Amino acid sequence: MGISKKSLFDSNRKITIMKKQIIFLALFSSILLSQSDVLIMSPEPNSEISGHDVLIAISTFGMKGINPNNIQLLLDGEDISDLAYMDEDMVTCLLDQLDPGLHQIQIFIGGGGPKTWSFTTTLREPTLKYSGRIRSSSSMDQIDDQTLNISQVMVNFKGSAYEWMKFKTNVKITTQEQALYQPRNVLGFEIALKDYATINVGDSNPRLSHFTMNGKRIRGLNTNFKWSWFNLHFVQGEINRASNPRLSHFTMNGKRIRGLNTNFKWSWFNLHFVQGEINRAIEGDLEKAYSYSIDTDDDGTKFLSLSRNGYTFKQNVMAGRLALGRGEKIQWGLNFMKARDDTNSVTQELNNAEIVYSPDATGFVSGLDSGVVYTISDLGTKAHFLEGKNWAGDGPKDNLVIGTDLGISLFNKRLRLDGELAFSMTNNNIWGGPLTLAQLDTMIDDSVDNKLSSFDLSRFPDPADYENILIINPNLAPLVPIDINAFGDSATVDLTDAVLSMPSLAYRGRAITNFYGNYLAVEYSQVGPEFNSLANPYLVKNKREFSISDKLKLLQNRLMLTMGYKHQDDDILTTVENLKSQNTMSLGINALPGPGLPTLNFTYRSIDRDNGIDKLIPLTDSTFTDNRENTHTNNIMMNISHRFDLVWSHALSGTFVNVNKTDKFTDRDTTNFVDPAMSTNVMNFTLSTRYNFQLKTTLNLTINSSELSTGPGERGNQDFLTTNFDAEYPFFKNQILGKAGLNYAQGSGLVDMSWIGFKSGIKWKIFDQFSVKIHGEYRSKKSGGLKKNTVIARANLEYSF
Amino acid sequence: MKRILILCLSIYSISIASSKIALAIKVKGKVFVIEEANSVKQPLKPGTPLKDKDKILTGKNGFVAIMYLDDKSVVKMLGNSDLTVSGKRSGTQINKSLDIKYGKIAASISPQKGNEFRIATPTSVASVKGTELTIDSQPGIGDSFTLIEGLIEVTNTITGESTEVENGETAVSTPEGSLEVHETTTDDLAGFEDADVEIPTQELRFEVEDEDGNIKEIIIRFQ
Repeated sequence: MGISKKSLFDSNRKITIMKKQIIFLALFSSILLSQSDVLIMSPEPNSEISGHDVLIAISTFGMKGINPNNIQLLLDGEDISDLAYMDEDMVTCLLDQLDPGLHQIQIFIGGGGPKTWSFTTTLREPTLKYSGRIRSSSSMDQIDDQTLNISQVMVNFKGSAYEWMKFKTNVKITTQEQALYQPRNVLGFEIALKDYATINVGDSNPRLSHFTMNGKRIRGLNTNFKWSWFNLHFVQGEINRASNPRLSHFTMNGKRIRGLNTNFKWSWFNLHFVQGEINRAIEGDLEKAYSYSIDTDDDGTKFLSLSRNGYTFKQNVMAGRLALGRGEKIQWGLNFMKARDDTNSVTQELNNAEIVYSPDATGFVSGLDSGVVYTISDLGTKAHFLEGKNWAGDGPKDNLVIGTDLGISLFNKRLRLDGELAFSMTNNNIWGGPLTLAQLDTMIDDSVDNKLSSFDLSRFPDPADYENILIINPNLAPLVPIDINAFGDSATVDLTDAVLSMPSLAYRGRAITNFYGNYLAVEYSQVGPEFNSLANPYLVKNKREFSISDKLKLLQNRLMLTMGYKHQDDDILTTVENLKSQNTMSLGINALPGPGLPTLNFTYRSIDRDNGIDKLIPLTDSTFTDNRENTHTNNIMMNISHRFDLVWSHALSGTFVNVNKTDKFTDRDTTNFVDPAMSTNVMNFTLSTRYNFQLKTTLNLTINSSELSTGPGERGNQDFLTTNFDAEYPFFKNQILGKAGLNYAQGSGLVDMSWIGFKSGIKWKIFDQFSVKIHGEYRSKKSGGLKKNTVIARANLEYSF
Repeated sequence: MKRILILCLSIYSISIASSKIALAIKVKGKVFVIEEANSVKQPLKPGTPLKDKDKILTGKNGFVAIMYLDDKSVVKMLGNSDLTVSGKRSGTQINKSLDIKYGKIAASISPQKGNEFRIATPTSVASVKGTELTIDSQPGIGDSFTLIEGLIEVTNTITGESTEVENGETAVSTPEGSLEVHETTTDDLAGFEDADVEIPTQELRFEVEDEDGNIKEIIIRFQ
């Protein structure tokens, strides 16, 4: 008997069992119940579970005539009814510990025989569990005259050992891997020791927070240690190969690095540190690695002066974030990011690189023939290599970003406040190194007066002393980060205005509330025109934005009303002459009445855009330039979707979109002006049908009609009709899934074109773990009298274990 | 000890008689239940019946699996989650819905016999008939719905845009109003290890990588 150390075997229990059986027999014939309605909730029949905290649960929901007093629960033949909770809806019994082995449960409810099932308890989980998947794919895409062939193999393996260790791998080898590009292969391994430690080697996707690091891939070492209040997260890798740490929205926000990436947490203390490479060095295409000019040496001999082109410097990055607070309610962080190109990572002399020689107006180089391709090694003394600072390609960069952020969550995260501020300095060409204080003195004027313009340099540190932090030279942007007119007794600019309009400053704040079905969000952000983070290169610059949106959820989430307003402009610098702005107002109504009823959506958006120029610019020849932009756009979208059964099961969706943009100026020279006004109407219908015999089809029809400017004083129309029909059907008990589709499109108006295509494919499940997929597609396109074809072929194999 | 627990469960059950809709079948770590009527926060134990509008909160390492009484639909909550279970008893069925404030939820929903299982978050509403899925909802960031099996319809309540999500797909719905569907990757199921959900093997997948090294996975399924 398996119930541990409980008094299931004592004599009192046996008496209780007898009493229960007597009661059961007495009531046996008076209750009419169907045992088939009993639902076994826990443990599942024939399941294997841990013997600790075993819950036996049965649902009698919906059964009539249940009398809890007449229910008897037996485990391995012993009555445990007294240990159970019973009512008319359920029977539950929680047992601390059951011995390992097979167990049987019997439950008597009213008349009829017992409901009986078995399960097995174990002392522990199986010591080793694993599973995996191996996939390979090959594809050939021939689109017009371009052909692309790709093959790759992917291996995923994961498992666990005992209860404390988990591991998994992620490997992909692809023919796209080339030295000319950033890496395409993926090699990753992870091992986790309970919740205490996770170690990733190779490619992984660290997820620290929304801003600091949120799932972008890194390559290197990524470890996470937790112990009580102590947390340590450590990453070392490359941004471009595999690692994309996010420190903050402005500083480093998901750019991939290669190097070291670490995160330490201990109670309210958080430290996140990143060191690695943003870019790996790429020498570039050997045919485009050099440009040249013909020069003359001191002896009057002509030679080729070679300049490097088409390269990418290796970019090293170091970044860190120190934060206080767990983040659940409050967290305050300080962060920095330091990135610098390695000027030694690009080779000056590439012997295998080629040039095509041709003389120019300055003369010719003796011994070289015009039109001949020479390798660099062929040129010998006829070529001289320019120093890096004179190369035609992009100069090496140096970038420093510092920032701070604050996040507060209150009322069970129903109120969320975020704020962040960051400041950057970027040197766009560090060849030649830093300026000295003496060079700084004479940078703007020639007088040696220890002043930079009116700024006193006498107490200013020598920039050369800080070259390890940032190389300061005339290529620094901004060279003077704040308007110096805000300083001194004769200041002409308010200091606060000067700070808030610093060109390399970025800041933002956001408040989100979620009370009583009302979701309100208010956000303000500003990114200066010269703010730059090489680890977060996709940030939109020179933009200030304020937005507020509110969503009301009514009728138990069946009706949603959304309202929003957003203002964007570039009013950041005090020197802005023409303020560009855009105001957007939106309204949305969504009705989701429930099953069997259609879903309705309506969205209206009004956009006003102004570039701040309201006057014509007269030219010297009595004509003028019209750069004014002031437009209004209305955008309406309506959609209705409905699922219904009519012979078969269908989902029908209809969408209408109208975009109408008008020019607010009425005094245009319509013969010479490209009118920004345009209008577009789009209608789409989609019908998806699931048939009783496993066939599934989708029919899609889209009609698009647009009217727009095609040049000064010219307008035109373009109409498109596209339609697709796709079907899929399983054969041989789902072992083979066949798919086929037809698509047709026709355009008329400004461009007359048409295409017709078909596709088909199968997926064949050869056996449970092994499958193959083949897909082919052909499309014939006719445009402007030219006919071109597209052919796509793909094959995939997958084995799971 | 066991008798005290039974007594507690009995008292608790009497107070919610005839409105029970589900049962906590597995509990780990800190898990609490708050009744709508009295707003008292109590530890949730295995075997505890749940009724309409009960709010469940899990601590950092908390985990709870609840099972509906009528069809054994299972909802699993992972750590740091806030969920209100709703259900109206109607004959032999329960019309179910979940209101997720935040957190990670995995659900295995049995076919609902003409009814829908509605899942609402601050950003989205999902209509479910019978499926297995995971939901990761963060009010400031948005939701991701990952379908393991079946079919759901997700609506972004900011824009009203709706989309169907099939098995092997993940829909991401954001407070900014975007609603996108992509092929599920292992990243989409990160953090759900304790819920014992994983991408089924009856699929064929291959990955496509863009110039920035971002991976998308294309999935072909058997019906």
